[in-house]
Amino acid sequence: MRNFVTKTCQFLIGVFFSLLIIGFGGRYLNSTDSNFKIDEKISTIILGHSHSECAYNDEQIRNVKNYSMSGESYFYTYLKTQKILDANSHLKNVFIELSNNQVSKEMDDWIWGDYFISHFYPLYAPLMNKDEINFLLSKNRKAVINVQAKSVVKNFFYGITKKNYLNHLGGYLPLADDGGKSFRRNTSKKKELLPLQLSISNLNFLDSIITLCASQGLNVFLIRSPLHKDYPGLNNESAYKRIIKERYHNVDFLDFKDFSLSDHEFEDFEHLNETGSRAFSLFFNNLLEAGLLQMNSKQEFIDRNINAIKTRTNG
Amino acid sequence: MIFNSISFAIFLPVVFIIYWWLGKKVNIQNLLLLAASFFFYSCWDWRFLFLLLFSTLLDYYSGIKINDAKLKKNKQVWLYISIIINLGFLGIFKYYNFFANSFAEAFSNLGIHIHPWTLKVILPVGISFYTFHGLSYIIDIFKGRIAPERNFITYGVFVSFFPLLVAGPIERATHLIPQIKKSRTFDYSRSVDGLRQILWGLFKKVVIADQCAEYANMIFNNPADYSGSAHLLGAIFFAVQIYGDFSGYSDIALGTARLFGIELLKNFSYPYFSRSIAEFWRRWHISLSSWFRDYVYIPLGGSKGNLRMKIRNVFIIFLLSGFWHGANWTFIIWGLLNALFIIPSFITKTNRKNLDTVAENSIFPHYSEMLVIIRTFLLTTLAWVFFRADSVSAAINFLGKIFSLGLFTPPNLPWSAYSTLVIVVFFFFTEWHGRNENYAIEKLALNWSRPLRLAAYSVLVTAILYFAGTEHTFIYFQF
Repeated sequence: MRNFVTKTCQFLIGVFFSLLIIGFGGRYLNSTDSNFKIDEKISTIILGHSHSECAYNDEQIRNVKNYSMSGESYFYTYLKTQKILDANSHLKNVFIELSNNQVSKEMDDWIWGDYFISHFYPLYAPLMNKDEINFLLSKNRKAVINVQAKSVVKNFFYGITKKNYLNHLGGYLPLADDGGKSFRRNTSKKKELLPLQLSISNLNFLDSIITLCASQGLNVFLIRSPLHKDYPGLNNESAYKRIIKERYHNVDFLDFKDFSLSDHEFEDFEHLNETGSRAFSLFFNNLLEAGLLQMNSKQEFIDRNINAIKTRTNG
Repeated sequence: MIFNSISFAIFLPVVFIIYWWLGKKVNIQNLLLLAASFFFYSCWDWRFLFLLLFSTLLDYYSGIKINDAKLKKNKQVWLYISIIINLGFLGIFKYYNFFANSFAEAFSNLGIHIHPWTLKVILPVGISFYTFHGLSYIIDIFKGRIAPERNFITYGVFVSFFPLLVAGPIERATHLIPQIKKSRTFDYSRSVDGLRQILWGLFKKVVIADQCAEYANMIFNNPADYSGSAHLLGAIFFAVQIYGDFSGYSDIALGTARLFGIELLKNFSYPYFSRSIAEFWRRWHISLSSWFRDYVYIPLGGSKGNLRMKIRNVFIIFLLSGFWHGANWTFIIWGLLNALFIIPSFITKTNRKNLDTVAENSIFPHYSEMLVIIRTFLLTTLAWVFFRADSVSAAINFLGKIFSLGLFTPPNLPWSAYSTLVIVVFFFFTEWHGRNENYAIEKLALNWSRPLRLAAYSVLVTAILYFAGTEHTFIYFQF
């Protein structure tokens, strides 16, 4: 029996140490600054989750790069921002998506829920320090332990394939325009309302991103991408507005929620398809070129332009 | 505590080391197994431990009473008491709501609206399995096939031995109790074999079943988003998922039991290489099929009697089998479909054909064998659609989508689905290679050099760890 136990342990320890070596190798290869370099021409980055991922076609917005990623909570965005800022001192502006669902309690699950850890931990593990890993361990130890091997192997493969690691961490996502079929299908399903409680953890990490950007002299703007008027997540609008007013009164908030789009330009109530994002990105680019970021009353300017489009469309 | 969890990865070595450290005294070994099994079960929901204990005590006591009764009438009384109470529990927990709702629906079709009183209870895990354990024990005593077990610890281990407690195999007293009564000694090569089977079972579950589940769920849950060809792939993904899941569970159960010196009944024998539906049912969930054969089909007359009787018996067996899986019309139709598929072989008297292993002495099957294997696989896959779908209408719509022009359009699935298909193909090649063995990798690497063998096992372990991002429960735990 002793022989059996010894040999089994030897085998498992061998596998464990092999994974450990591979893990450290992958971490080293992926976390170098060269993996996070952005073109010098780019002065502005966009961060956020799927709303901004689908809304901002960065090919149509000058000097802007979209690094939003579906399902990404601010905890992971914070890790990405640290590395991007370290490697790119030429950046000037950061747009951070802040939509209704990002203040809600469901974001806790987006940070440490089983599914989200299994998806995001392998991507962000090379960027995490001890405290950040401990934070996740304190919230969902089992999921973090379960995902270790996946994380190690994935990181090793990313490392040896020598691609820019930042390419794995977001980008504009075009959703095909199928003439409104997807919209009709997706919106015919049961509407999921947002929980009215807030995710303090997610908001704390947003605070950390803002502080980090400000400390490096960057201009930070909170933005809300266009939403369909029937978006069920608007059920927390009053709480959402209160947070913007009270918690982020020092940060510019640019609200594009009411940007005029037809149903067929949406994939569902909260995501724009390719056609919708083209229209919105051109509009956004025009505003930037007109000097939006330098204006005092930015929201007024945005609203005026949105209304002008509405009037033109209706007329 | 599921087999593919961290808690089980701690539980198993601890019990294993204490078990063999305690020595060869059978009573102590059994006492530990019983305590470990009750602990294992209480990790699901400790309240149901009382139900398991009650069921165990009932069958233990009834068995002795049946044996000791002098008159046949008294034996029958104890047999019926045990059967009624056992099936009563099963009925309340598993079938009550189904019957209540079905009656209400039937009345509402007649214009009479009643609101059924339904139970808000969760199904005790493994109830169908340990109930069938107990029933076979009681019936065997009544029929005089075995003597009752008078040592409660021994009987307790028979019912609740943790590797088989929640999802089988459904053991027979004649097979398991003699092993429990005998003192077990540690056997190195048997333990290595057990570990190897656990490894293969985990691979089947975590790498094959859970990955296929992702795409099967994606398509079954959002049928409107996918083309006809994607539906066909979705059905195939589910067919592979349920095989990987359940046979993987069985491999882990058999391997775990072997670590403790106990051999459980084989539950799967490469069913997807079957050349007919009859052969498939000799190779799929063998312990349940043989249970129904021995305790229902044969008492009903089996294959004796005229053709009408045989067909009736087959229908009864498959209806019961469907119903055993759950109180839902989808399972019943799944059972009926399988009955319909198997009936022709009874009419043509070919149901006992193909008792051997396919292409036994050759590397590849003959093309005619290949065709019948594919036909059998597709038929079972069609039936699985009912097993997986949420409702009968959803299953019909799903099949409608497969048999539409959409079948000839490219499947609109993510690329990762195709990489999963590549892993599935590798898996079936391995299974084909090992189809003469108890499990596919039983003898696969035995002739290889030690470093190569260890490297192969390391690849399997890494693949399991890689895909074990979340702990997915086993499908058959719900039954």
